[in-house]
Amino acid sequence: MLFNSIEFLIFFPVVTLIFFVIPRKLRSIWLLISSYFFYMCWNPKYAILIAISTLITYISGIMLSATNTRGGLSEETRTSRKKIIVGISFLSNLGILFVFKYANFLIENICSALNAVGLEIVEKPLDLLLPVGISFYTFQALSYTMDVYRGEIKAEKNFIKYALFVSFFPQLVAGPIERSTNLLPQINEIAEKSRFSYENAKSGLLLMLWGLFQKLVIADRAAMLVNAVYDNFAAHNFLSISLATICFAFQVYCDFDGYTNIARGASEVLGIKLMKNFRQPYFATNIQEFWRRWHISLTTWFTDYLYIPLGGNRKGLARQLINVFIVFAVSGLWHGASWNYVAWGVLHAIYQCIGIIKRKVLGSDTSKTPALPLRLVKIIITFALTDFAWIFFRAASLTEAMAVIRQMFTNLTFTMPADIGLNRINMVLLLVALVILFIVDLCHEKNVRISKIIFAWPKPVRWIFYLAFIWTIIMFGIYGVSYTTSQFIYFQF
Amino acid sequence: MKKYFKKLASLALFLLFMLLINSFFHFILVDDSESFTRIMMHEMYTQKEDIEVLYLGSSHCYRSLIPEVTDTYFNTNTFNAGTSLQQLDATYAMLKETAKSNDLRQVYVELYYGVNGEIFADRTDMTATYLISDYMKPSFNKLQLIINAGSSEHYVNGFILGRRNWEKLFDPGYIAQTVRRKLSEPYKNYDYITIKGDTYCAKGYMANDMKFSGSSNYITSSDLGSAFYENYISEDCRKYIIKIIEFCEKEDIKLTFFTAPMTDFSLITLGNYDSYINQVNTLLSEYDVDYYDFNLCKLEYLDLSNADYIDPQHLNTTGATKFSNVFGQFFTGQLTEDIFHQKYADKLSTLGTKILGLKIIPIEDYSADDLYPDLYFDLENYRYWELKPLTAGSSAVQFSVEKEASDGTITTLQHLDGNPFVFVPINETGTLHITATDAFTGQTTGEILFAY
Repeated sequence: MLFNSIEFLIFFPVVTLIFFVIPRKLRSIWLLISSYFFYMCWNPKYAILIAISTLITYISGIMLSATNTRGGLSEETRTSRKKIIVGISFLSNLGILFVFKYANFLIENICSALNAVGLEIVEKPLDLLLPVGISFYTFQALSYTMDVYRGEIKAEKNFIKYALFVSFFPQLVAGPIERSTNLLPQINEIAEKSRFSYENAKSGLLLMLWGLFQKLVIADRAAMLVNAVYDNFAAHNFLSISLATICFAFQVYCDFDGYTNIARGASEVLGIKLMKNFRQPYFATNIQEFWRRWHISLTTWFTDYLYIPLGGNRKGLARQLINVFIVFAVSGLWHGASWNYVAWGVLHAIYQCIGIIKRKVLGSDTSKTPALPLRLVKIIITFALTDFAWIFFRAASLTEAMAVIRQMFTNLTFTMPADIGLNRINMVLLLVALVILFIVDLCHEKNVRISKIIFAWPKPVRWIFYLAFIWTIIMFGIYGVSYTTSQFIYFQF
Repeated sequence: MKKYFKKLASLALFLLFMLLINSFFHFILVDDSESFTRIMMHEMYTQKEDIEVLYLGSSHCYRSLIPEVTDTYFNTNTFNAGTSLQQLDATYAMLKETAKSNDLRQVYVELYYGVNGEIFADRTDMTATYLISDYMKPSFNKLQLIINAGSSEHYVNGFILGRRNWEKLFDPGYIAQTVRRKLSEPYKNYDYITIKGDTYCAKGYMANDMKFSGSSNYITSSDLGSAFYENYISEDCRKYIIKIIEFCEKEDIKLTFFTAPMTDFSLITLGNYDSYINQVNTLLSEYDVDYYDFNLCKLEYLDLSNADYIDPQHLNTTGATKFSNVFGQFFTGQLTEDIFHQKYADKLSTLGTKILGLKIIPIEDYSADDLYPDLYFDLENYRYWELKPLTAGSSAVQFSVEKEASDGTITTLQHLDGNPFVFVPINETGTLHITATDAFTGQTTGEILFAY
């Protein structure tokens, strides 16, 4: 069930209505049932995997808590037992993730390597469907295990509440990867404090509308151009491939941020606040800043649970650079079991390392914000670097990515091919929508709360705005017949 | 409590504004001033007299049965509610819709093979559904039709009509023209219209006086094949046939299925038309419902030629008049089942050596030597075709062939000659004008145009 589908348009109001009508004590159970129903709409068998992950990490939390409180243990024994519990939790969950997501990738590469040295091996991939959202909920469940281990949160004893934490439908399949310290306390409060708030409903619905605008009007429209060029890149030149890659930058941003905003909006209607996952990423003035603004929940997850445990920047420059490489290579692999994603991650690692070395050599002056012209130049350079990396992300394989780059730089012509997937009307609409996106992001960058401004308008003006906004999405959104309801990009992870 | 009622009233008002905006976009973006179905549906809803006899089906229905003719036979108000590409789910919806406000006595559903093989999930174009749903009054029946007609990606266009033409928002000329047309008196009064030779006549019949020349009566393969495989009638169609039957039983309406006449050329090229008739008969006999295929009608009762058709599948005014009379006579007991052959093969045998069309078979490299070992074909410099007449029986046929090159020059290649082989230079393009003539009876196909 996609957020931009008729089914969700029916599902969400029904779930919300029943949520606020039934007694508070039953609301967590209702949300849990709804979440599993939501997930099983993709494939009922998926529920088994998420249930296993939930059970393992729930039991790990209980056991960690028990180990903490158990008397008669030395500190050393307590720590080593806790490490074993965490190890089992990580191994089993990552094992499941590995089998479903990476096993075939490993088999393919082993066979290729053996074939390359003359050993004729017939590749036999496993017949497994990648469950939607497995990377997200696995990481979320594992972060809980670590948080309990570190004492940042007490183990959740109520299985229903914990299961809801792992499977909460708005953020289940594409994040944000919530921390237990944020989401679990809110889930715990449902039974006592949950009540319908008109203010939450207003701002939540507005956020959902904005997410739909990003997804349907911008992302899916940009996708038409991107697909037309990338599916036939051999017929294109530097100009059209560059244009398509720039469009892809906005496609992936609006697709993912759009989804996150719909998720956050839906949660807000239900009275739950999820974290922001994007903070105007293309306003970043360097790559390090980009990763503080892009997919924030994943970046912080890798920082807290991989980069820092590896030593972070505390063990010298060389070790720091290696740690950065590992984190970004793994991040690339997290996005997909394919070398082009690894290449994308490694490219960002190279960018980061260059930035680290530059700051070490030249020093970094964080005392003042650079003047606007310089800031603009830095923003453009950062965008160009991330956009170049997006070629690897968008291409179907590493070979294709290299072929696209080769095609770009060996066809340095600046005439636009006749067919680039968008007619004039759609091109203009895309441009206008991107201008709107820019204005909204700029307001957020300046801490201007657009929703606050809108809610302060007189009612007739507000209504005109809402009606115009809704009808813009209905009329100009890319969905329905002659366009297929397209999946969010990050669902494949 | 008061606050909640206020909020609910606000929500209701907001939804009303949404509906008004929907209507506004529908008004300015959807130009249906040339829609025949719009006029037909309006007539259906506003009939002064009860509709007692109803015809349902696709264009095969609305071009074949003239209510003004059949009124005189049934001695009551007959109405033709056929619409373009009407499939069985839409037929079911139309039946229910008409039955709401009319005391239907008899219903005749046209069931040519094109409406029976469809798998609804494969539908990509919902035009046929929208033709009806756009003009249905708001009802649960309308909702069911739209929802069941296709997958959920079609729902928005079913309910938000303006969305189908959203790009026209940037075409002020189109909007101005649409508004002008919709505000005109003929539009508001549902005046009858004529578009490209099609004239809407009273109570759903669409007339056209064009005569089919038979110029496209050819195929390019040597075998006819078999269009009707086992279980040709899809599960979806089967389901709706049963729903129609059950509805009529419940409402005490006499139900009959029929197939309107098509040209024999179009039927013979299907290869095994009798298989289709048998499958329909097998299904309907389970429910004790009658089915009559008027393609089996004996020539002495219904003799139709190309001149009675607009194209291979649709009757023109002359043909519809002939058919409506036979239809009325048969279903009011003036004619018996003796007017029908048992099988289409039996009817074909009565056509004798009548030439219905041509096979224009390209001669390919790989087959030339096998099929024509004694003949030489210079396939490097020429393209060749073999002409074979499409007849119910064998015949001595002479071919007259003229070649019209792309620059307009006409060359006679042969005149009344039994030679079946035609050839043109390999890179040349143009049109062959071919007439096949029975050497004994003088019957001809008429000029067949073959673009090469």
